Amino acid sequence: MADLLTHVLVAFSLGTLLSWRYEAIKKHHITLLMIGSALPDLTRIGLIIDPARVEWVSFSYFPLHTVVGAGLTAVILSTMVKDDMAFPFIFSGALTHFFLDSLLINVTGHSYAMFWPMSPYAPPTPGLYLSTDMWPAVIAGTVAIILWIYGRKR
Amino acid sequence: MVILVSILVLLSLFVWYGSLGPDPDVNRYPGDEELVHDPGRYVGHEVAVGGKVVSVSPLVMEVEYGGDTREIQVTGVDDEPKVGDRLTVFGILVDEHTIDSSKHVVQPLANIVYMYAVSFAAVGWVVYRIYKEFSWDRKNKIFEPEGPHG
Repeated sequence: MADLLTHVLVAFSLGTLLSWRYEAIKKHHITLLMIGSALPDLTRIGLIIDPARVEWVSFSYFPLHTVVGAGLTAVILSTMVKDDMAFPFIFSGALTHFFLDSLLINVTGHSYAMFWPMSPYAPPTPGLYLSTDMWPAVIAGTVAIILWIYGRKR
Repeated sequence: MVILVSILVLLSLFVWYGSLGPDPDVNRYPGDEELVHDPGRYVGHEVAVGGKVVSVSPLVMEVEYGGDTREIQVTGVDDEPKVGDRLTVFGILVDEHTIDSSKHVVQPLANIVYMYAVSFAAVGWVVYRIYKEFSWDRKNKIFEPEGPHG
């Protein structure tokens, strides 16, 4: 997973651009997109409840980091928001996450099974960056700041 | 009802995926769990593991899973990671304590700290935007866009 800041910045930029194109897209829709972009990294709850330390059942949070898992999480979250467009925005945010993560360097040369359980296939990755690299957030941050400044002047 | 079904399906997926073992045919190589708990079974196989560098000469990393650890010597790495860096390796498990790496990635400790710091900042930013853009409707127990703070 790329660092969370890069994910959220990309979602912010995408949402901002879309809001200029479509008037129906409001600021809270951009926030929903940003929430969605962070959603697959809910797997980080493993830092609090480590599946490896639970002995009575073997489980993994990995499904949260799949398209199906993120879709289900987006369904749950969208029922908590009074906006009919909540699901598409949250889920689209999650899709931007998967796209960025599909470009990550992986020692196996392949990404991960993001379409599980529909398919176990892990697509090849071009290996552009690591989650710990700083430059993706620098680029994403620069773009986001430019859009934010331009948006305020519009 | 939708929430309940979604949660149940998600929990089922957690258990389903947790029950799966390694399958190199779909790039699911033996990893940290297998190397810590049952390395003998995977000697001669390709493995993909990560751990903290605990020694540089020889290069040794500590692989952790569920509180248990195993020190693995890594050969075939040409650059020089530092103690504390994270090393991820893909290669052949030569014996229970040695991997001959064919590909590796080093993540310096400072970059790992950076990643967590900016990720926390990102969470803070999103929470702030939720506070600004939504209000909590107590009666209907739902977030309403453009509340009193918006």
